[in-house]
Amino acid sequence: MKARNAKAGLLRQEQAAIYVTRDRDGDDPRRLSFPILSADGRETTTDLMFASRINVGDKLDEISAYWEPAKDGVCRVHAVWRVADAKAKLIFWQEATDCSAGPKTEFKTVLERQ
Amino acid sequence: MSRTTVIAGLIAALLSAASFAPRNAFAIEPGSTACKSELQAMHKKMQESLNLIDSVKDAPAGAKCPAYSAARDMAEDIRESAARCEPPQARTSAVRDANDVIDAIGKTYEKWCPPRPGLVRVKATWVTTVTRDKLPKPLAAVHRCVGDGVPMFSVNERFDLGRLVVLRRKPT
Repeated sequence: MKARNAKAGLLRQEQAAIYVTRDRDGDDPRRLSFPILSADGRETTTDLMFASRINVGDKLDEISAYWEPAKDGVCRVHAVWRVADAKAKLIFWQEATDCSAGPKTEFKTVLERQ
Repeated sequence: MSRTTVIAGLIAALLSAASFAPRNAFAIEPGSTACKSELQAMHKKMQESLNLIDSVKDAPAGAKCPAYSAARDMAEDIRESAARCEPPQARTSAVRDANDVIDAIGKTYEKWCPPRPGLVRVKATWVTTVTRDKLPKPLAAVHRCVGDGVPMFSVNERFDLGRLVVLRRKPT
């Protein structure tokens, strides 16, 4: 739970495998592994992601996700990965400490890479 | 420059690039007979799409909407053929050009075809239920998380140069 940096309930419900394929027929499937920040702030990876929490970004080579982490004092994280040649690179990580504003929740940027 | 002109230009550029793209006859998949045939059909569809958009250039909005919708479907099919069958050296630009066409048609559709009164436009992600034995064969060969007959939720959407497939075991 700490390594995946996600609430236990989320881990029970939403484990999904994510693949990039060449076409709709699933040719050349390659499973994505996602770098994340664990609850203690170290960079680690997971090959399971939260199915209903991920979206294709504005740019078609990016995936973004929001979820409730296991890190103390943080109520939501926002991560963005850029995918090239079936490798996901973590380029953006934000954390929120007060989620009472709902969609207007303010996030603090912890990691930003080009 | 009007959006229609931009779309026509993008499709024309795609058609031109595809026509002169080098072919690798020795590659197992892109050079196969089936792929050659699919690429021929793709070129024909590009021209049809161009003609379709051109045909409603001066038409009233009501006539544009079904044409743009059909053109978008054709562009998705064109992208699919390019992703599957273009040789590696031509694939990246062909798929990215098709992405540009799809996005341009989408923006034009949104401009000319607003939601009906009282409705709002939403971005939908299609989720289907599938069992492992019904997965496309290449995916079934690598996805070992569930056994045959166990239902999964599946999402298959446009992503970069191919598709993004999400497979999640359906809660029991």
